[in-house]
Amino acid sequence: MAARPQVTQRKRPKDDELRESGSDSFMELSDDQIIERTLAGETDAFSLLVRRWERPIYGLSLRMLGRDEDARDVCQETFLAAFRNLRKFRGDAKFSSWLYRIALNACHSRLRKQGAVFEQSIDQEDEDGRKFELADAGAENLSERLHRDQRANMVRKALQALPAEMRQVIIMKEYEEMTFAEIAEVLQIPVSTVKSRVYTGLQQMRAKLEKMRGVL
Amino acid sequence: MMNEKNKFNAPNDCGRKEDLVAYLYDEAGVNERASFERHLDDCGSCRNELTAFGRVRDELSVWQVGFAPRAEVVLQRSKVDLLRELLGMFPMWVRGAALAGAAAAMLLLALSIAGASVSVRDGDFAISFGGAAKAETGATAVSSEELEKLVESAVAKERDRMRQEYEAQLASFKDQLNAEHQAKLQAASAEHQAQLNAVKAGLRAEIRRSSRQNPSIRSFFALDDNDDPWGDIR
Repeated sequence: MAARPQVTQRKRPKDDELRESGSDSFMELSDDQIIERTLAGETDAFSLLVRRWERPIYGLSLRMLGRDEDARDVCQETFLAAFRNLRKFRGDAKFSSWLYRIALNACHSRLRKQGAVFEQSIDQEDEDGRKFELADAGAENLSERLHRDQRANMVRKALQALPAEMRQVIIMKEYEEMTFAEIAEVLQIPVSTVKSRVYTGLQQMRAKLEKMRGVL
Repeated sequence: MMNEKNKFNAPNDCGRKEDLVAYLYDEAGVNERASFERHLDDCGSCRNELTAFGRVRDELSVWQVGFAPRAEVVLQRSKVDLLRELLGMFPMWVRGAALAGAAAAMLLLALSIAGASVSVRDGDFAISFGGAAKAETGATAVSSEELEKLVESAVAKERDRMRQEYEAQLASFKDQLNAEHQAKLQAASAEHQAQLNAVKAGLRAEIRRSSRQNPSIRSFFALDDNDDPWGDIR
């Protein structure tokens, strides 16, 4: 009998673990409670939702678009659209799912506008992208840090080269740590389609990384 | 014969792709998991793919977003929202009073537009509309020439009043100055006289003392003890 590959669930540093942990009392309020307050006229309450979700939305946008500037714009557009349409949010789905959907729509809209020039721009964005790639470089020495930086850059390029529909599911699964059902809710597609896209996305990532490094 | 690399990359056509990713991300149920593990024993493609996907995931984890810029979302609040928020800061009774005040102001505005007058006489509250309110004023129209004369007259009166006031102030200041000057002069004169008297007294005492010691000086002045040598110049 062949030895099974060991699949261990890794606890990787999520982006939001890198930020300061908020201890304010508003952290105890649920998204729905904050929405209720906002709709009751306490518009400042909405900024609590912005603070809570800006990192995931920014991370998703950055990984979808590859450019900090675009990610910032999408982040802002997303929250403005959410605020303007807050009364339309019925609470059938989670607020985060609704927010992710708005952000992804904004990303796709931007990708369509960028069109053919997008693939070319990936290589030109090294300097711009580099600053986002090191997660926890404090304890690393310079050589390890450079190596990690190179690997991150390769991942970024490989991810950018994926078709958008694969890229978005990989990002939501790997970086936002969403379940297949949550991703299906955001994209409003069946769970089986999500799994299929994740599979294809991983296959393509594998092929691209192999081509780049020849190691996988 | 398939080489090692091609074998590694062989397409997975066993039809269990979805089970594979569910297993990979630990989202398979107990039965699914057991079933897939049995499948792995027989399927080399799935085993290889599972290993390779694990490495892909390791690579993906390298790219972390270290920071995110603070989103600056400027939310435009409507005037109604602002008013509501402002009112929300006050206790209920203040809100009630404000609303009552606003309602009263609106009522008065409406009445003034309708040409009505509101009066309270002897505890009675009365509202009258239209001509009656205007007739009570009894005001007559003034021509522009008459208005100009009225203005000129008022200006002339004001000018006279200011001149008189200025002259009175000047006279008062002059008197005050004279009085001060006179007082200073008298004080200076008195002081001067006192100094002179002190010098005279000193000299007189000195002459007396010297004449007692030297009789020739006494003869020179030809004085007796009671004579005043400064009598002629006093």
